[in-house]
Amino acid sequence: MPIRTVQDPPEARKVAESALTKGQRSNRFGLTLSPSAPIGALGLYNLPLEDLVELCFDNAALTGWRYFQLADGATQGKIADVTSDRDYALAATAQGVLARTVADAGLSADALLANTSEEYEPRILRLPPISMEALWLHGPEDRFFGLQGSHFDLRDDDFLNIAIERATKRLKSMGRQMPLGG
Amino acid sequence: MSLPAFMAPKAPPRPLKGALVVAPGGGGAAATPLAGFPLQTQALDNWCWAAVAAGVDAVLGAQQSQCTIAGRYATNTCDPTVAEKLRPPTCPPDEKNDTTGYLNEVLDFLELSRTPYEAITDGAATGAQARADLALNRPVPIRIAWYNGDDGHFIAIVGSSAQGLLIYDPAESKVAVNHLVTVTETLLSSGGYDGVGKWSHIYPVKKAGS
Repeated sequence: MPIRTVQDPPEARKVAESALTKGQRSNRFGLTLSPSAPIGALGLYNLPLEDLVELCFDNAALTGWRYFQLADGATQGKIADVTSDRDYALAATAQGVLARTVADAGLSADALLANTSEEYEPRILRLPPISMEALWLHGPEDRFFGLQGSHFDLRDDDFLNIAIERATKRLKSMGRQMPLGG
Repeated sequence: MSLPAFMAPKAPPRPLKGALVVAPGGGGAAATPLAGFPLQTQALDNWCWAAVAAGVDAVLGAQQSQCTIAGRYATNTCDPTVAEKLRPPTCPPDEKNDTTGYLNEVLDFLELSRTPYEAITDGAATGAQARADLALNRPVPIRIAWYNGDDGHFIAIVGSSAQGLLIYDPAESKVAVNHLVTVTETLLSSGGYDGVGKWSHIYPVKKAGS
């Protein structure tokens, strides 16, 4: 299988399962899902902008595990992020179309790479300073599938080119006196 | 179709027998955002300051758009680089107007600052202050520092529940979760927001002109 099956820590999954399924009557999302809707996982990796512009993807660090709960055919799902440290603490919860978007990107990637002999590790690449995220298939040749906003349908070099352009601009704006943001 | 096989989808443990499934929008413990706070995407890549200011302005001020606020900010910033970027017109927002900004300056000129912004040193106290402000229908803008460095991002606390603080994040990377994420004070203090973000500053707000 060209895309390796995720090996998430059982402890992290337990934390996510608890957050995603605990008491539908008082759930934290206000979203109804079949309690038995499957939960899938991907590792969350962050890459500093300096490394992005240098294409140093080996410097990406595992910062957590993201769990997606999505019923068959549903457009909306739930997510729970769990930290990757020893405590496996619940980091964030949210709901929306993200689970569907990731599932669709994953199914496209699966189909695209079905006949390759290389092996890829599926990850989520997070670039929060430039508001970009991608499904990242880490392998001999890294593949990227944009996930959100205006870059959700960008792939590979198209995604990277936009990301590097944003990162370069962002890095130039650093080093001022007051706390800035954007 | 559901999740791809490589995501190792598994059915969760069975819920307790007799557990109820409620309708969408139900769930007593779920946090909801402050009424009137617009959950909009920042209009340009680096305009989180404009989106957060517009959110506060919608609840407590004159309900101006991001680009209107940006245009007015041009003459109210001490940073000539920002002023140059925001030279009118800023509506509709154009790539040439894209710049990072200083939320304290923006809230100041909109007369929405209650007190000067402060560095966050005590996460528990900040969380308590945020909950008190929310009870008074005041959103709580905060700044996230990425990688503990100079780079940052403005977001706002717009709700709370027993599970944590409901964050409005105007980033494009939060579109698919409706710009709302529930996190804990512990996570914000430990630097785990989006994996590498730690809350660094709080910007207390008030009703404009009060």
